[in-house]
Amino acid sequence: MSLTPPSLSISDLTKRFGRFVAVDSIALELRPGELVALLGPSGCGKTTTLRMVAGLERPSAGEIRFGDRVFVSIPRAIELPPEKRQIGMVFQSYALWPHMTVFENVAYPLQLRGIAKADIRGKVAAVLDLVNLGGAGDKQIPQLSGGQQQRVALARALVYEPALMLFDEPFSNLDTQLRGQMRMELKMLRRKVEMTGLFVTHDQVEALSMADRIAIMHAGRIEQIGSPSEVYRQPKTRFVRDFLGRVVNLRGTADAGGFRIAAGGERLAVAATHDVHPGATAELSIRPEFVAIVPAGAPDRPNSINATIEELLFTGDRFEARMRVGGDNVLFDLPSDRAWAEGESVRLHLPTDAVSIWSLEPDAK
Amino acid sequence: MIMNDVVSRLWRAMPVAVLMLVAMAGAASAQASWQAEWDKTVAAAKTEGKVVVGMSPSTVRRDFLLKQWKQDYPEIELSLSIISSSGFVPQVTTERAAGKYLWDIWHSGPNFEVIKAGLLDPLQPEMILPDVKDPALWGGWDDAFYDDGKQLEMGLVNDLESPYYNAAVIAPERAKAEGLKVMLDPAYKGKIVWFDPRVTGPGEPFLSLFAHVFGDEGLKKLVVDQDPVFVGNMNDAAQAIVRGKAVIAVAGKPQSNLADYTQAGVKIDVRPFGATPETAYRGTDGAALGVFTKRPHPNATRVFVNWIMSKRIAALMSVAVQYDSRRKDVRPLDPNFTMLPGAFYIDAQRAENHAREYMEKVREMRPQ
Amino acid sequence: MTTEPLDAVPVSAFAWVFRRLYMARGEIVAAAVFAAVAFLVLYPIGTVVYLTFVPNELSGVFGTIPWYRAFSEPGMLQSVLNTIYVVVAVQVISMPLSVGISWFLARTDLPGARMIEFCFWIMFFLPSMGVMTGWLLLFDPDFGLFNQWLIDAGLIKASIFNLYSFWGIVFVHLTTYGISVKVMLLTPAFRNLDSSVEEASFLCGANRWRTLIRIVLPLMTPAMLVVLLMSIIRGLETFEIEQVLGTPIKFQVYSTKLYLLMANSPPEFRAAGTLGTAVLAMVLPLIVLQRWASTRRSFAVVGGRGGNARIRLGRWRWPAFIAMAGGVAFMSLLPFLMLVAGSFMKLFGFFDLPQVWTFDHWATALADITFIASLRNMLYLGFGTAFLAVGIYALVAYCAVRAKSRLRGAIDMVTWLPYTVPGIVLSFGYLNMALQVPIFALLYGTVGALILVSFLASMPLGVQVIKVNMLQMGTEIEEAGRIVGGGWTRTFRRIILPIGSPTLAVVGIMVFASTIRSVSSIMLLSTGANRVLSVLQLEFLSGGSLGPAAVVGTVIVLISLAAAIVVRLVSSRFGIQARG
Ligand SMILES: Nc1ncnc2c1ncn2[C@@H]1O[C@H](COP(=O)(O)OP(=O)(O)OP(=O)(O)O)[C@@H](O)[C@H]1O
Ligand SMILES: [Mg+2]
Repeated sequence: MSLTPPSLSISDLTKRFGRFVAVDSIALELRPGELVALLGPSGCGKTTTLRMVAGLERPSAGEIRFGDRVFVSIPRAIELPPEKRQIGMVFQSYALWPHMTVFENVAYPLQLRGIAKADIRGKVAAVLDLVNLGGAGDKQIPQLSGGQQQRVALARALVYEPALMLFDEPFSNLDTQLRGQMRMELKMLRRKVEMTGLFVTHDQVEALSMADRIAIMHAGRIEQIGSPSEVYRQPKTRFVRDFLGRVVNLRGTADAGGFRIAAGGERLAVAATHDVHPGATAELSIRPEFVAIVPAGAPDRPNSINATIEELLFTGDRFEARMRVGGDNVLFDLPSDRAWAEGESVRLHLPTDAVSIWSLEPDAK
Repeated sequence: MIMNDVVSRLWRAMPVAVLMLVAMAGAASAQASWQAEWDKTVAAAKTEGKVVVGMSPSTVRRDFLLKQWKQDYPEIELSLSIISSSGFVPQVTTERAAGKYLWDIWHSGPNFEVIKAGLLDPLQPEMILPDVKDPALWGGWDDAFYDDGKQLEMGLVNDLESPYYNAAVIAPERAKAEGLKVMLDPAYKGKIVWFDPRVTGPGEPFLSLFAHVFGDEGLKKLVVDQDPVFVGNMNDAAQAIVRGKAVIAVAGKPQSNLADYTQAGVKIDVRPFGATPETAYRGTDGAALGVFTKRPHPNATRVFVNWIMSKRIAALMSVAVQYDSRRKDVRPLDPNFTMLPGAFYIDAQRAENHAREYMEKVREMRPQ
Repeated sequence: MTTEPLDAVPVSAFAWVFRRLYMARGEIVAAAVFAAVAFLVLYPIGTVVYLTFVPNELSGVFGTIPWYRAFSEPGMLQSVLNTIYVVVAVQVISMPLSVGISWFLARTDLPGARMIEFCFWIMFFLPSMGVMTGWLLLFDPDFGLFNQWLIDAGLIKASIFNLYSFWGIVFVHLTTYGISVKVMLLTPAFRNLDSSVEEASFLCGANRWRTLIRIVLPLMTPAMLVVLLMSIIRGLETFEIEQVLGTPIKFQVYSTKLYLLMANSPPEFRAAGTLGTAVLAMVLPLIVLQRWASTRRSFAVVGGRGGNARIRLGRWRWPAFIAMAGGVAFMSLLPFLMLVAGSFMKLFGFFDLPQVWTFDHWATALADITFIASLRNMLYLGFGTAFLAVGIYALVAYCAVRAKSRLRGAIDMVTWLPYTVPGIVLSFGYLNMALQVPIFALLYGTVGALILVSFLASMPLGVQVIKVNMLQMGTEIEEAGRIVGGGWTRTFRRIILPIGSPTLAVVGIMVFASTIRSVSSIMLLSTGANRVLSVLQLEFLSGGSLGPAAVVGTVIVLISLAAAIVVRLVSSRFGIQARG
């Protein structure tokens, strides 16, 4: 794998099941060596997209190319069967073959490629070592733990060094702890093995922490593509904003370059607006972790507003607080280094560059 | 005077003598001609190497034929198939529609379907041996052949059947005196076992006899009031008698039906009601003979026909299968149970006895 | 590696059409499979149905409409009702019982589960006539040994169990095919279940019973529907039981009426055909329903992870074993021993003869001139059908489950059809096909023709059972085989078939056993040259030689058993049991 792996290019890809459109003319480019996450709620078409790339599902329209090879092109009636695409895939269910041992599972792809027996043994051993399963080759699949099975599936996909790797919710069947561990391992693996990869998840932490770029899907369409921090900080659509992380929304009215809280009447300066005309009803959005909260009498900073603590919940390392801001009730975390009180007034500082304004007019998206 | 007398006698006898001489010479040449034809046929049959026979189910007859044939004509394979009476004709007609002519000999029935379907050739031209050809030996062709034209399907056995009873329960004197009327005695309600007469088979021909003797009303009394137990196979009937569940059986002949039991040492005394036309009817034992049209082994067929009809085989077979041969020169097995000379017996196989209609009637009387 | 540089793509219309066809190859293969199966299945059935409507020289009664003729048969309505009573009683008893037994055998640590399961195979191998005769020996009201013992022991005054009764008939149905087929098929299905499914349910606080009812059984829906449907159809078809036990007590069923029409001289094929067609019409909606219910959602239980922890029975382990082993010994070993004993008895069931035991029947049967040839033909037939069948059934079942084609459902349903018309009626259709289709006509009179017919006759069983197994196999298992670089054929051979092998083995054995003992479908194609043992047995039986018939029956059962044992040994050698 000395050469840079080729790039994956998806254009105008559509998949219909009967009249239902599962994937709606999406386009996506993967740069060589890049790992892209497909993120979205259940049923938005992630798996379907992945399966079309793998050749397990035939698109209704569109084209997928990998380097100079056409995987599939509906207009030109080209379709490469999955076995000719030279890709690796880790299934959500692992799809290990229960009638083969660990060794046999991993060796099978190599046998298909007509590799000599001795070489197979060496390669399998190496890849099993890579996934920390050295010495488990003779085990039967049902004798393995979930995490081990997961790693066998990974080894099976890696062993023939495919240029493109696909993962469908690779960690969804693992418990939280194992999941974290596997993420780490995969990340480390990427340093050792260069590969272009596409992985599907509906776990945002997974997407944010592992992917070079994230494509957020919604109802068969890609809503936004960008680096993790881009999509997190600068959501382009309301869907992306609400889907990723927590968000605090306050209702009010927009004006030129600013925003007035509905009930309190305070005015805030804002950086980003999304299709908002001055005077329109709108909402202000900000991720709670960007909001600085100080007791009422503390030295004030610009772009701050008043709030009242209505309810407090002590959770050990912090407080969860329900606050009244203008006419809205919102939730914030408060540090536990200070004793807060219910009914106490506080000031919320909203940094200008972290605030965005979204129209609430009926015609808004 | 005396001399004259002698001379005149001689003179008068002269034509007779001449005729005798001529006849003797003729016989000799006939002898020569049938023998030559026979030898030629046998030789040709050996080249054909095979004869294909479809016969009705009877293990003893099958065994007898297979063994005896092998002894007599080891060079000609006898391919015997037990055929189901209902499926055979459709099978053969379908085969023929597809251009397959596989069968030589029909040895089952009588069955009018084979005739209706035009599957049989006349039998008499196949007879070569004088020992076989003579109608007198068979009681005349009119009686021997079942078909209207008296040439296609011929019965080989002379079979008389009568229901039988357990002589330990019913006194033979009474059976003799009252005949089948005993069957209507309320004491034997539910004690009559009967091979299901609603199906073509050994239970059904009796309907014609009983209706003939006692009329439709009598038949109804028997079937409905006497509540006979219908069974689906011969052995159930035999068991019912042996186990004492039933006293009277309408299911073929006791000597073949109960053979296994008596041979094994079961003590049971069963007797037929009688050999009179009021107590017995003519059965068939599925032993009719016919030759198929367009048979694949015509010479072997001829050899088989003459073989099975010969006196030697008829006599051996009669003993083996416990049926009287139709041949007049083969002794009946039980001289006390043979047809009374000149008497007319019901033969259910003949259309005029309406067996089919009685069967339909019984189906209505006993729908379950 | 054939890669196609994008810019080099030719644009000729021909190439485009060719490529489109290539892309549609899945559809084309499915269509070809459908066409082949439909032809083989519909030809004989079509012949029968056609005959019922069209005048023909074979029709029994000229000038009457066969449908009217058949259904105006005296007592028809009552017989239909009787059939329904029997079928309902048999299924209501056997279904829960079989599900329970299979669950115990597959999902718990019941001792000797494998042996017990094998006893159900034995039960399946036993000929129903033989089993029934065996039961009569015990439960005849007048001389049944069981009744006699109880009377002699002073426990009862009169017989308590009379086999000549409705419940007697139900009992024989249960002990022949009623339970055995279901257990044979459900046990592997239960065994495929990933134990994590159960464990998850236990974790949620559900007990075993709730888990079984709410989780396990719903997952088993396709398997249960298939066996249910199959045994309902079997129940509609068998007539030997009612013919022997029902005729004396005036209890006729649909199938005995049908038999009556067929046994007439001349046979009323058309009228019988209408009864057969009516069964078809009754069963078709059930088939559609079954298809709908088993494809409505996913029933995949083999996910490619796998755990097969067994439920611990704890202190119930041995009581459960004793109940199960006792039941199975009673239902399978006892009839088996009676069958074998019967072949050595001078007169079956007569213990008070001067000489009770004999080798005569064996001597007679084995010395029969046709015995060896029949045995050889039977082995050709059995193995030929089983091998041909398992491979092709697997392919057809695959298409019925996985084909990316609208014909998938049609393939599934068409494979049911040979079951829906009673064998004695359908045999006539088979005869027509075997003679009228030129290639098959070459086989006529040989064992090949019998193989063809037996292959079709067993198709519903084989395809449906394998289909259920494939429904249980997650699609990703197969897809993984493609992704890593194996073509479809390779994946089918190396992944799908081996994973399905326990089921394929069961199917192979069932096909073998039912092929070598059945006569109804091959009867009309049988000639002296291709006579098989089952036909010889029928010849003995109808010729009144019960002893030799019992011998041949015993030989057939023993051969089935031997084949089954070999299959089990082989499959355990290859580690198939590792999952079970
Ligand atoms: N074979 C199919 N037939 C019909 N509809 C399908 C099929 N496969 C998927 N769909 C539908 O297409 C939509 C997208 O499915 P897909 O499996 O791609 O979702 P997903 O984004 O992977 O969801 P999840 O996160 O739940 O796995 C869903 O609404 C699904 O119901
Ligand atoms: Mg998915």
